[in-house]
Amino acid sequence: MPTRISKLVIKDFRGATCPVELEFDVTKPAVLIFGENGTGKSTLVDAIDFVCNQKFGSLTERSSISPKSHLPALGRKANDISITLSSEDNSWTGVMGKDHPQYSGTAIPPPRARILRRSQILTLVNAQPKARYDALRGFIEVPAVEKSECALGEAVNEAKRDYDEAVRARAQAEEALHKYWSAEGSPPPGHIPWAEARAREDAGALQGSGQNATAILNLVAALDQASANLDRCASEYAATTRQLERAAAELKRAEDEGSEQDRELLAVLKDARTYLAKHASANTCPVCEQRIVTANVLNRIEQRLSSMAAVTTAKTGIDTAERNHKVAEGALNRSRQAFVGAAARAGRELRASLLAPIAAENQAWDKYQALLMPETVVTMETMEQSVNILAVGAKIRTALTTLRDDAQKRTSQLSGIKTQLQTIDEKTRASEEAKDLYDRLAELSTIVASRRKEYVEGVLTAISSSVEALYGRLHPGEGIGQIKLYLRANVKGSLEFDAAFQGQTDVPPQAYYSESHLDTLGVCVFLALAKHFNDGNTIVVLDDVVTSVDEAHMDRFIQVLHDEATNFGQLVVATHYRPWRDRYRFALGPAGNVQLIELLHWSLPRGIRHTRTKLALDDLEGHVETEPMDRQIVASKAGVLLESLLDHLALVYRCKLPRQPRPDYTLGDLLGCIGKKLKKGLKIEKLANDGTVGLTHELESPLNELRGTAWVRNQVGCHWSFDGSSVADPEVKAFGTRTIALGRVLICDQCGQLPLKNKTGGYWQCACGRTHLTPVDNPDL
Amino acid sequence: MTDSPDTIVAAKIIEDVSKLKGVDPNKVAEMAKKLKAGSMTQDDWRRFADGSRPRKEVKPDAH
Repeated sequence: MPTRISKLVIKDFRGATCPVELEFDVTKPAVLIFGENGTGKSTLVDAIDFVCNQKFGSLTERSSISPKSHLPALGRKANDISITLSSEDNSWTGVMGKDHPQYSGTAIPPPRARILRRSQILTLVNAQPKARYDALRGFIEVPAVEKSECALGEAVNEAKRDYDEAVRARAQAEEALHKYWSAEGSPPPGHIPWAEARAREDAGALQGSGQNATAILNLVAALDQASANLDRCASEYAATTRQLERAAAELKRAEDEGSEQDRELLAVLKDARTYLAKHASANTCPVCEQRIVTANVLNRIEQRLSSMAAVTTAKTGIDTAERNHKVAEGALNRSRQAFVGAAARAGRELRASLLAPIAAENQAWDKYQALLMPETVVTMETMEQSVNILAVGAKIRTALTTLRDDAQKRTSQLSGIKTQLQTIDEKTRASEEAKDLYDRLAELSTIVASRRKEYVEGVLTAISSSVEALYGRLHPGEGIGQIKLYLRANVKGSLEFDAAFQGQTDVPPQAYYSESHLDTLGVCVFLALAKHFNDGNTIVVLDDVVTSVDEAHMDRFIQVLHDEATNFGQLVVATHYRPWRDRYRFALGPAGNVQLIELLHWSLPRGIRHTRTKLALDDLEGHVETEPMDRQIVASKAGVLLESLLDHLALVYRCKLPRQPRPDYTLGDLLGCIGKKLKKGLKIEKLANDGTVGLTHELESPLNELRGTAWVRNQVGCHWSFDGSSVADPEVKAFGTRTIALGRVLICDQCGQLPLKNKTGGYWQCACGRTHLTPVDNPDL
Repeated sequence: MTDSPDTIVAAKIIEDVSKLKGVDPNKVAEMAKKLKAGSMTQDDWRRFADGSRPRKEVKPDAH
């Protein structure tokens, strides 16, 4: 016995504003939940999804909706949600976890529920290949492998980037070398051999001559500066000498103009002024000891000194000139020392240097012994030699500058060449390693992708034949089918499918198939996948998947579903399509194999409510047995049931009925259409458990009896009249009872279906094959 | 209990990877576990590829 849902209890979940409890009949492989729109079908389906798959259900497919926030019933919170799903052996309770639904219960996980919603069918048949793949992802995905494959793809891309970067850097280094080589006139054989040869040059010697030239140029520059300074000092010394001579001449002229006595008096007056200024309070002359007024005496001394200013000025001038001359003399001596020192340093460096421009001067350095001694002193000789060194410096400056610049340039170039050669070497190795790694990763990527794709293709190929078989049963002889599902080449997660249409193969069915054909195609793909991955306990749920199917297709669709239901743990169908429910009620489907649940009107205070759908036969029987009997209901319901039974016989035997625009035949038409020969030959055989004929019923008598009482339907069940009132209860009850009896005979006790199929050519049979109707053909035709 | 699709595909991948030249059986076993768990990272792939890369033969007179 497969795992089947025996009970579903829902609290505070979506439309379940009040607790709702559904009992399932586990002896039946299928459940039909019928409900008008808005009665709570999707809530029930989502509840199964919530517990079995820990998913949010249909809310996931709706944009701008946060499933977690909108799963609770109105006014409830996510924590209030509780859904308990029970089987015969286990029970699981689903609650809202932190981010996703979760369940508690036994260690055994809940059964897997494969749920197909109408939106998925639309996506499957109408959407782009990527969305189509996503619609079936629940079946064909290999999530762990795909996740690892994704990481592998990133690794491949990174390895490729590393390789490209190494190649780019190598090319860049080669380009730089090429520029150096071109700047040198592109000497043969090529830029790389040239660069390698250059890299072998002695960088130290080149750098040394550059540094030597720089040092000598610096010393020559210092010597130039010392020379300039010496010239300036000499010039200043000459100027102070001339100033001193002029001051001396001026003093002489002033003194010549005054007497010796004046000069002595001048000294006395100055001393007296100094004394009195120091002793301002003295009131006695320090020489004659006469009483004096100090201020008066000082005034008088100033008057007398003024008259002697020329001599005084001349003396001050000579003092200043002497001081300046002394300072200039000192500066001159120091500048001579500096000049000779700078010349000595430059001379020593020049003498030691092996640079070509200096050697070309061919100097006799032994002539410079006085200057080039370790402790150089300023003499006429050393001054003379310094001037010579200055001249040599001036002569070689240009050549040395050229030599220095060239050495610097070549040193820099050599460094650049070495760096680029090193880069080429490193990046060549790096690119080889990156290429190896990339090739290996690409090889792995090819393996992973091909194996994943092979698996998915395998599944699709396997289900293609299954889809074809299912579709062929739904649409026999309609020139459609040959369904092929396959992955689009070189595109990840992209599902295509082709089909045949009126002899044309490999056409996109979306372009040619009707809406109902596409609907059933989507269902077939889903059923084939569910079957492929079925572990025997899979619960298949169809949530309002069929909207527009004509009667013939509906009958075949119901038959296919019942045939396939036995492959799964349980088949749950939710529909708003009333003819589907009524097929079971009037025994046109195998009502014995399906549990019928009917949802009632939903309201906020009462939530989801349901009831058991009664079969028409059971319903009538209940009313016949009820006391007091409702005459009108019994007559009416018996009439409708009888019509449905007779309609079936008329259809099976192609009985003649009056031609009219719509097939709205009356009970009288239907009772009259069964001819004499047919009526006489109609027979039902019911097989026992061992396959032998258990009971045989001939239908002529019950049909004749019903024909005699059928008027009750109109008189009592349909219209108001006094004639109806005069019909006795037993007559009404007899009409109901005879109708029930006919129904019990015609409808299979096991599967609850009328004999609809002629499989053997010998009789018409019900879904389970245990009720046979004969003859096969109408003898009256 | 039937194998999950991930287990089936991972086994096929491992079958192919094992045939590659120079792979370490221990690393293949580790990869098998991670593939099934979906935990092979970019670094894991790089390490595996690097470790399983056939080394270039070095000629005796190369150095």
